[in-house]
Amino acid sequence: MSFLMQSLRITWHSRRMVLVIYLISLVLGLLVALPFYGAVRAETDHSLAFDALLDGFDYTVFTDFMQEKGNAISPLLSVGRWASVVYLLLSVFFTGGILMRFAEPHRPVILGAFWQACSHYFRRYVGLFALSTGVVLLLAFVWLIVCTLFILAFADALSERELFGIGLSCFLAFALMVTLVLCIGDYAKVDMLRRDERNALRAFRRASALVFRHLVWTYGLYWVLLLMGAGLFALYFTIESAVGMSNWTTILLMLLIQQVFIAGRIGLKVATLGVSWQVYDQRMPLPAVYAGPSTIETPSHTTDETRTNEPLTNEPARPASNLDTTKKTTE
Amino acid sequence: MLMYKYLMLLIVTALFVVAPFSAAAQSPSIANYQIQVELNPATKRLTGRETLVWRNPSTDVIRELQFHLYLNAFKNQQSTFMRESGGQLRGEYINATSKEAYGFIDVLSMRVRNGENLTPKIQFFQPDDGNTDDQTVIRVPLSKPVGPGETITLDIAFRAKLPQIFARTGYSRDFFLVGQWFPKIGVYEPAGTRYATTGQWNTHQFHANSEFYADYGVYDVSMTTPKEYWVSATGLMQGETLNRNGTKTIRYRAEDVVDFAWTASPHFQVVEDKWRHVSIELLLQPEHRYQAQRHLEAAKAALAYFDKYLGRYPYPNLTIVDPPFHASGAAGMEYPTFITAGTAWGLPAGIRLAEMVTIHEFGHQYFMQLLASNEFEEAWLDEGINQYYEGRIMDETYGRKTSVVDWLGLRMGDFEMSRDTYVHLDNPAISPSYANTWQLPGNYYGALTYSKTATWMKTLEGLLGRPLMDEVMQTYFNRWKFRHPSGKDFIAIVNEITPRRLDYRYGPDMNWFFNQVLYGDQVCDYELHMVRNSKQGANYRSTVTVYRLGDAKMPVEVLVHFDDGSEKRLQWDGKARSETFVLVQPGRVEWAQVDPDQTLYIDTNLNNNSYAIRTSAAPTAKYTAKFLFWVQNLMQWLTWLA
Repeated sequence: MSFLMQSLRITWHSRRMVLVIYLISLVLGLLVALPFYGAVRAETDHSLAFDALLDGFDYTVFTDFMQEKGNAISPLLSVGRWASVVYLLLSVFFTGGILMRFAEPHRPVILGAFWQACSHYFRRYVGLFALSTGVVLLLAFVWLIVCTLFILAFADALSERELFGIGLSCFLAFALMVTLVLCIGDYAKVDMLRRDERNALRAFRRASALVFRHLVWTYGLYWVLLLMGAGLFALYFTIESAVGMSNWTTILLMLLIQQVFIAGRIGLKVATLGVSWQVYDQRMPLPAVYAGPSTIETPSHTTDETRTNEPLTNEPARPASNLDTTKKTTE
Repeated sequence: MLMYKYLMLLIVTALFVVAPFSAAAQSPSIANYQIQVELNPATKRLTGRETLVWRNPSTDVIRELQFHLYLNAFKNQQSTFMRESGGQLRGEYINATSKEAYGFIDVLSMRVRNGENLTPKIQFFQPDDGNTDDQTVIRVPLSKPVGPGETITLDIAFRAKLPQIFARTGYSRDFFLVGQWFPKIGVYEPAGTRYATTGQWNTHQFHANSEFYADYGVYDVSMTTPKEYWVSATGLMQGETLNRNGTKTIRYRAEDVVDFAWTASPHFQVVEDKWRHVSIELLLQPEHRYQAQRHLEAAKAALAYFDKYLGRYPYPNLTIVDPPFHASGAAGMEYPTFITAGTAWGLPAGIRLAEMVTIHEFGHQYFMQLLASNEFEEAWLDEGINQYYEGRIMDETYGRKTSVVDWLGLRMGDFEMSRDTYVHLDNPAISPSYANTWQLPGNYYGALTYSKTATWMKTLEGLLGRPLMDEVMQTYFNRWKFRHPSGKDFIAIVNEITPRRLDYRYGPDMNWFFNQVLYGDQVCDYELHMVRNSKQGANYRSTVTVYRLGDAKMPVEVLVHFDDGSEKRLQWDGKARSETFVLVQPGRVEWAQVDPDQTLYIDTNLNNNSYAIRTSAAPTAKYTAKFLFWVQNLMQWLTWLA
């Protein structure tokens, strides 16, 4: 748990970085939300019907609106989806900067260095993103076929509850597999940075070995963070149902809460990478191999074979001196 | 005295002879059946012997009889039902490649009691579409005609194979829902019945989107099944006999009904309850046992509602069958005193599908069973009016805005659902609801028959007011129960009662309404287009402009609200394309609303019914905040891939 606490602590001390990421997500969101506001306001025009929406969802108002004005809204939904894709790519971009932050937790957050690290590692993380997304899609495809065949084969012999149970089990198993892949992906990111690795597949393989060897510390902690996210949602829905959004005061209050929630989720995601860094650092310590962004240069390469054959030791956590060394090279 | 004894003997003998069919009949018992049927669960086959006593209700001489053989709809891909439906109903498909999925019925013999053998004279014919591959209707010429008021007794032997359930009837594993299963005589409509100007048979083929039409009668049916099966059926159980071969025979009897269906399964969980004079038997799947109360409360709500607002349920019992999930094609169907509901394990309490289906199917005890309209030709009379009552009962029992869905912040009322289905069609003017059901545009059958009718019935209620609407419906029920009403009979009652009671507010009759919503395809949409204020001396001159955007013309009210808090109601006949009201008042108009009481529920866009000089941006801000929040969340979810 010390990994988690340490990671959360570093995230808290990296508020500037989290704020920057949050602001970017907000700007992207506003790019969609402001036209949405304008379009809805224009389309609702002078009607009193929409006041009913202040008391909660109104099916008739909503369906009449979508029937009449859906054409004005659907392009915005599409823009929302594209904004999310852009943010996804930005998140790939941020990875290097975030991990660098965990490499140098004692240094003040310097945005210039953050951006530099982001851009330095972007290309290799795009490769890793493509790899892990491909694995997830492949898993989804195979698992869908397996589960469908399984359900079809036994459908006649099973009760409704059993079918539901099997469906749910299939989904949960799929969720476990996907999160495992994503967790490995996080460790592969650390690996690529720590070893200055450019080959995503090799990093993924090494990360897999690490995750399976230390499943509790890696995958277990990953799930703890996921559950913390779920807890945030539960908290949010509780607050929303208690506060409601029936007048300007509560709308503004909820807007504030929503944005704090989003910032919290971003912090959690940062902390997840932080945990990966911490665990990797302790469970698979390496000599200082990476160079800081200010002197970014590829270290003299040992061969990949050498690296992959390098034993995964269970040495205690790397002393701060390792990072100190790095610090020196960057200063 | 001797004479008296002979007379008594005669009466007793007569009673004994006709007793099986005519005890205290409330209906004209025209088609009376005694059937013995045996189910073989392994082969899914029925073997039956049927005695039909049919009375000629007309003054005509009947020279041929016509029968439905509904199960032949499932005989092959060439039947009219299969051609029209493509082998599916309500999203359930036949397993077209499996021979076992099909069904049929063969009449092995048909004889007049003590008379002619009609078997060789049986002819298939196709009164609706001339599809010679369709074998769902037969006619049988009679050598000895049936005179006016005379009866004919036929002995019929038949065998049938049940289809795998996808369209109401058949089997699924060891569950059987046996409907439309025996040779059933058509309806002979004497001149003056419904639209008949001369006496005629009204016997239609089995179509994809149509149900049935039958005369009243007494059904006395003995069903033989393996003894481990629970059997329930239309009517009341008369007794059970255990047979030596491991089977049992259960006898049911129903009076004053138009059909007979039964179910058999070894898995039912039986729950019994009572509402006043009505015994309720609920046959649940074991997995749905915990939902018994949901079904029972819905059934009782429907019983109480119809009893209060329409008329008494005259039967002593009601059976509710909950088909298993794998037989969901049998769900949501109505038979006299016997309905099928439909639910799923884990269905949240806030999604009231089980309640909705139970209430809807019970409503058919009135609209179809007690008011035996022709479902082939005027489905709106049973499905549509019943949908209207479903909306009333659901919304008044479970909440106007929450009756169907009240779950995770989503809310939907039953009338809202009906209205949405109709007014948001890609083309609400696609067709009138009034048409032979099988001739309605294919994908619009449900919307036009159920939803549009329910929506204009709600509109009619808005125009007449609830008390007058109830009076109309009660008159319709009392006058036509146990008979065959038509649409014009319903409209005649509306026209008889309402103009005078409303002081001719809508003219001498309501035909203008039915011509648009039932016989026509007009679309209703009024818009409060604009409000303007200008100073005129010490007062304000305000103009309120209302548009008629649709081609339906309905009288409407306009409510005008002034900034001093006063309000004014204006009347408009709604006929012109637009109307501008000019008001000179001390106060300015703050807002105005056309149809403020939502009388015209059929209006396709209720959001444009009001116009305010100033509106709050709060609702837009609320949903923009939510929109922003969920877009940002989507981004965060995707981030986990990064």
